[in-house]
Amino acid sequence: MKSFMAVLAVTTALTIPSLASAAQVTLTTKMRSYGGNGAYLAYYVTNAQGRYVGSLWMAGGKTRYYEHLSGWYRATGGNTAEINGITGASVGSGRTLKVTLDLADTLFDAGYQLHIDAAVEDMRDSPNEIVVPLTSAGAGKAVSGSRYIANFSFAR
Amino acid sequence: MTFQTRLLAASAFALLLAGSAAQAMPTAEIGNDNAQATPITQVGFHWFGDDDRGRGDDDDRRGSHGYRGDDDDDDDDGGKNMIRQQSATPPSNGLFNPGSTPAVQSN
Repeated sequence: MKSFMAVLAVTTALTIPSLASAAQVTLTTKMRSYGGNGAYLAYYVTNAQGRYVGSLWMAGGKTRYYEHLSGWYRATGGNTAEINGITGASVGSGRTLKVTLDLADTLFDAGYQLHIDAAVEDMRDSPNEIVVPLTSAGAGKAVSGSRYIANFSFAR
Repeated sequence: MTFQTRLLAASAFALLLAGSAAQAMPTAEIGNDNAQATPITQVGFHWFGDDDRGRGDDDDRRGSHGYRGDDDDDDDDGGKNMIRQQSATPPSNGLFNPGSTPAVQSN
């Protein structure tokens, strides 16, 4: 019994701090019915000075189209190491993409902004279609896109 | 060895020579094929022509009018230029908590 309590105490001590620092953030992007092929979407973060910090997600796997995500491409030079492990399929017209990420708490309320660039085959590119500050107050509030994205929101 | 035997041997030798000469004919035809390497090279030029057209497409794509491609079914064709993820672990860019794995859902 004593050993069980000791194990329980140790596992609790190890688990609680990790829960405290974990920030599961769900990015929800609803696409308009724009009628074209799957949209490529680049999700990336800039700091308070507007400098690229890193990528959060890339929807679309063909690297030759990344140049059309011009904000992301300019910031990264198209370096696919930036999106290794965080790349998925492009998002179809009218569909909704939900990406859940375990993000650092320090990203919020510290001047960071989330950008989404969008591109669709044979249609106009749409850099910075979404730009939202990563703040606690902004969580859960839908933001309208300008071309392909109907709305975007993030939830913690 | 009698004269007839020698004649027979000489005939056989001649036949062998003729046979090998006949086998050499396809080689000569291969040589002709090689001689037709010029058209193959010209096909190569055609490829360059295609590439030029491709560059034209690229130029189009560099404009603001979205990319042009063949992936109407987006990313599942296993084609080249696809990013191949080394792992499902996000990059160490300071944005993700260590050891986390993204979850994605589309509907």
